[in-house]
Amino acid sequence: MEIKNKPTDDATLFAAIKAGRHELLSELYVAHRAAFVSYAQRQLYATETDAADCFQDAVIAFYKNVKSGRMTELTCTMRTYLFGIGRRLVYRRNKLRMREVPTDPDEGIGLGNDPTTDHDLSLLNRFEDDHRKALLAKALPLLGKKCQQVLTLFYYHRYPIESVQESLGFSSPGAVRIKKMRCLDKLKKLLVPPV
Amino acid sequence: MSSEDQQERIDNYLLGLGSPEERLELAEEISQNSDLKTQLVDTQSAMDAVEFFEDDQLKQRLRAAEARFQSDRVTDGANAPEAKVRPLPPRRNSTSRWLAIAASVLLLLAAGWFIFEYNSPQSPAQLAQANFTPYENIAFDFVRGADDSIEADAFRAYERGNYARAADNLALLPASAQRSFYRGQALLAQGKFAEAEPIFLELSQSTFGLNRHSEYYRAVAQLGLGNVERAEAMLGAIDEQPDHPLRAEAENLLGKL
Repeated sequence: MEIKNKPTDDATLFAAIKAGRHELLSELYVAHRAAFVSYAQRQLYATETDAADCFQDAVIAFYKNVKSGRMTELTCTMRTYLFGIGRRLVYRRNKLRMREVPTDPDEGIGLGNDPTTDHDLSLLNRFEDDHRKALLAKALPLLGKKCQQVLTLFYYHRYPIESVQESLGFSSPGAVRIKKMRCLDKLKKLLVPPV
Repeated sequence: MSSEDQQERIDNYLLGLGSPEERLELAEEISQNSDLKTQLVDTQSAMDAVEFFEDDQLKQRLRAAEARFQSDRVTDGANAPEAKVRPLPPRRNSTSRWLAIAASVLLLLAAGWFIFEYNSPQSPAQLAQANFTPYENIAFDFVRGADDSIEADAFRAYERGNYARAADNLALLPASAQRSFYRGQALLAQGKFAEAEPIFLELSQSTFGLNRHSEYYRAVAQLGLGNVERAEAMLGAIDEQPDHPLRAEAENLLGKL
């Protein structure tokens, strides 16, 4: 049985995730989860559930920034970056819950040694309209499994066409393009709001 | 220009790919061509749908990782030996140096072992856990208000990722295929493959609506138990059924074996 090795340092892990090994995100989460939850409980007065939930969103924001090309290299440790995003999310959660927000020396966003900015969170904030959310959420599962995979690998994980071909066993890049086009057309039709 | 080529230009534009000149050229065309603009807006909507759905899938995976973390913590806590305070032995200067050297060697050996273990491939059980996401709760809804029944508590725990509690409560209820299915899911989420396997065996041979799903989960349980060849055979059988609901998952897992 041959299974891919786990990257052992930040740079290798970052490169692996950037190259498409999104399955490593769960390990990334578990590796830093306990430290973040402990920090958020002590410093930000978060509950364990809120802290863990915010840290999950921080990992998602990190991944989306990597795949969108916004984050092309690591300028700090992975932990520092994730903590920066996670902390902002906890602040936001606290504010929503109308809890008392503790005084923090780095509270001025982007100040101090926080490597993250509001920009790093923006990809998480795109779906705040509930009606649109409902329409979007229903559409993709209505397509066949293969269509879902093609569209997901190409548009979400940003695989090049050749990698989609290799991952899903298509005969040629052209076959992937045709399949993608057909699937996209189906999805577009499903997204037309009912008259 | 073929429709695929046109779509590729739009994709590149929306994904931020292509040269600045190409992007500028398309932006100008869009401003003058309403059909092209509609195509771009529709593609953006489709991309949003993919993104929204996949964000949710990723969140589910991380919630499952959280549940495993919680479960491991409970297990570790239960198995941890009670701490005992022992008096320090009197110092022996003549032997302390040799003891320090021996301790250093042991430390180096332990570090080497740790590095070797960390870099070695995943075990079948780790692979099974890493590739398992608990099935969404579609069996029980909480519309009934403050429902404090055991079943409500079980599914509430299930949705919150407290799989130990979910499995325990489901075991207390009168047997049904649906409850067995979710109990099996909760057991798999905790890495209790030996308990989960017979549940999915029975379900896969029944007329239960998720009997074909159960075939896949049984294969995951077999993998978790270390029966790699048996799991491979089961996943292979699923992969050969084009209409199997979890064929893609089976194919994906087979690719990692």
